[in-house]
Amino acid sequence: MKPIFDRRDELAGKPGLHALIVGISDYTHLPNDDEEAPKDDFACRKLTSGAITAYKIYQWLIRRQDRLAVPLASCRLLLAPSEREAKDEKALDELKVPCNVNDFLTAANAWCQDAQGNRDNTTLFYFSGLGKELSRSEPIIMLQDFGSPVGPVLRGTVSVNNLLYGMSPTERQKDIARTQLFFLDSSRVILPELQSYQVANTTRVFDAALLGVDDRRAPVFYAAPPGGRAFAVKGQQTLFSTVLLDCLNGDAAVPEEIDEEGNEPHWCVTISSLIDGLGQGLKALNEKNRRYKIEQHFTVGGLVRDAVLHYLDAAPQVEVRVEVAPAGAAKRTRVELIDDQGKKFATTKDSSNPQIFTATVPGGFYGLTAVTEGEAVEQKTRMRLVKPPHTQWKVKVAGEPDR
Amino acid sequence: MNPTVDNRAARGDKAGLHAFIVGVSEYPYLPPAGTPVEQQKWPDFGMRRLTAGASSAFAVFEWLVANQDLLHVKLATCRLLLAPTPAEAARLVMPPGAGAYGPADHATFGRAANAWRDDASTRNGNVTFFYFAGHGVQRGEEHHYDQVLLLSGFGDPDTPILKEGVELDELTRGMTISAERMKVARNQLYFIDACRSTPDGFAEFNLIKADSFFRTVPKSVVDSRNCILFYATVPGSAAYSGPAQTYFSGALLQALKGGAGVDDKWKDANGDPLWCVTANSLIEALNYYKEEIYTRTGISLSFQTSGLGPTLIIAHLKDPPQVDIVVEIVAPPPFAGIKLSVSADETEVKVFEQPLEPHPRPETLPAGLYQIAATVHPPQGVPTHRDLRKSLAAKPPGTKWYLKLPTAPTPSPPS
Repeated sequence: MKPIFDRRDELAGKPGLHALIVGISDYTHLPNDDEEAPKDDFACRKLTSGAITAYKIYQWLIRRQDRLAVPLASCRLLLAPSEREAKDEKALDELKVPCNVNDFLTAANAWCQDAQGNRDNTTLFYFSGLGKELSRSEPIIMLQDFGSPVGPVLRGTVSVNNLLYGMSPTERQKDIARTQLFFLDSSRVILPELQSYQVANTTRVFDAALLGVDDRRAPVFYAAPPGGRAFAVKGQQTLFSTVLLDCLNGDAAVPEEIDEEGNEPHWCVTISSLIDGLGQGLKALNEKNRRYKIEQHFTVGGLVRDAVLHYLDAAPQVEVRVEVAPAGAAKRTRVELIDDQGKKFATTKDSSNPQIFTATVPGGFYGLTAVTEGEAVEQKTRMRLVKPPHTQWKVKVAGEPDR
Repeated sequence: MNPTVDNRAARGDKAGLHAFIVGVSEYPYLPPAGTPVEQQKWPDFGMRRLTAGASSAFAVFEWLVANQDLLHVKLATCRLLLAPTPAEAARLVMPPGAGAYGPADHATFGRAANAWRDDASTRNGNVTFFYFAGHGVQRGEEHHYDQVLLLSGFGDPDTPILKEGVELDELTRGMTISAERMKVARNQLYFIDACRSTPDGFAEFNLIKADSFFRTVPKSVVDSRNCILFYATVPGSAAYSGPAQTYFSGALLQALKGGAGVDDKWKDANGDPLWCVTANSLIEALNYYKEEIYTRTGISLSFQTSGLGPTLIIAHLKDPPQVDIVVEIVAPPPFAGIKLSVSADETEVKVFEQPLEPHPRPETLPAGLYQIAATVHPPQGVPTHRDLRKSLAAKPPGTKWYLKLPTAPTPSPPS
């Protein structure tokens, strides 16, 4: 299967990122999302967000193709949109392709082939669709023909472990990409006890050998913990992907370590900062969605080791919120942020709460001074890193304590 | 089974950390350590007695007890099962207040596991901490790559092959949130310091199943636990050990003692950082020490994890941890007379004079943020000035500072 985005010739000999993005909403053999779910072990229906989510991830990759840690070399896209998605987003109708298990095997093996030849390559796999869990450590994803009466029950499914271990560096694929990112944006509800022969019949994508040392960075980001669900707004993208894209666009940015040439650090999103960013982002989203009584959790497994994923174009603008105490003195206080080059940034007092001072500054290292009228001593704080999504600061100045 | 350390009365109705630590070196049915392996056949499958399983587990136990007041959720109980070699047994000195350790056989493991789970099931705020060092085997795709931990009776030719085995899947699934245990600890840490390879000889047998140990393994309600597993190796590979300690436990302890320190939280209004070790920071530190082990020994390790999620603080640190810094001057200007001043909170803590000897220069500094300034004293009377001014973090466990110095100012001609 040919990639929809292809710069392999242009980047020949250089490391590149090879992506495989799959988004399935229209499951051929399952009832519509507004119909009653079948009363079998799976209780699955068609989705309304799988394809649009994958499409948004694809769009982001294309947009940021030259700001990734290594440039985007190829992208394969398998989309099976629901009618609703295709109506709302015309491009989905044009990009629609069969996403059955055989189509997936073809795409995945071509993708794996591209990942080889340069250890500095990166791979990215994103799946948005139905998923289940066979046992605690065995998640599966479901392809478009899942539920087909032909063949074993799990023929239309693929085990995540088979993907993860099938992409490992073995004798047969010594020079495969050493940075591999897996995003599984699907539920992981544990299936009731299936017979062992049924469980054994997921479709193998690769020969997954368990051999030797695995020196990959290969984190697996799951949109749900084992047994948990991944949520979406009907017809729109999944909650996980919303926060993921916010993180990649800057909410999870950190300054890169200074490079070996001593150049100034760039702001970037790394594997480690993404894990932290997803935690904060989903927590904030869950707060916002509290009235719907849903909580989106995430979990990360695999081989977690830090690496840069994406560079921002510039230092991100970060809102700093400083709380000054005591309240009485806060009214007479002026707060300034000072960056590590000595440049000062004024803050604005919040009109509804005179104890709160805000400023929006480029991310970086800042100290803070608070000068209170009538007090001889100005309050200074240690320098600290101001980073997205926002930084909160508390400072105590001289003055009568609050009662 | 009574815990080796029991603070339950002192914790009262507060949440506590419940630890379960198992270390096996002495496998009486296996040939002694160092016996050549000819074939990975039944009944020993090529495995030998170990020399560092029990001492590694004991070192983790000692850290836990010594730092019990620094744990984010304080230590409530610790159950310790050991099968030490005679040499290891002679070195084990229990800390004051601790009871005896139990034997590391399957029957005792089962009793301890059930009691541990009961303790963990009293409050959602509880934390569990499980550590195992000893032999392990991995089963393949047909068993979902599940790992089996081997207790001291493994290798007995008169019993089923994995009678002394503990399926990791049973351990983690048995600790799930269920109708039976709605209050089970929501934060659970598992450290699995054992091989994950499959002995060749396993291929000759069907039904290689480990014995169950939990009274029940109830169905999960909604599994909203943070169930984080740290593995000493990846499926298909061995976990390695020095003569007295496993490499994984060595790295883990260095990380817990400060190598994984982060200062994301603030302990007071003026921005004094609160140093702590989190599950996420542990990963990066383990990777750092893994590289260090490779440099030192040539042994290539692959640590693996699963279940990482939102930040989970494991322990606090009394002080900022010490950080190994390597200072490297990039493209040094062609003259001496540059002074590099390293300050923290406007107090100079270190001065480097050009030329730096040795270069790159190793240093140790407390973790934190530093301001670096380069003062240039040009040779021909040009006024001293500062050209480089930047903030750099000393991040545990180790940081490299690459400093690009300003080029020398052009001396003005004598008037």
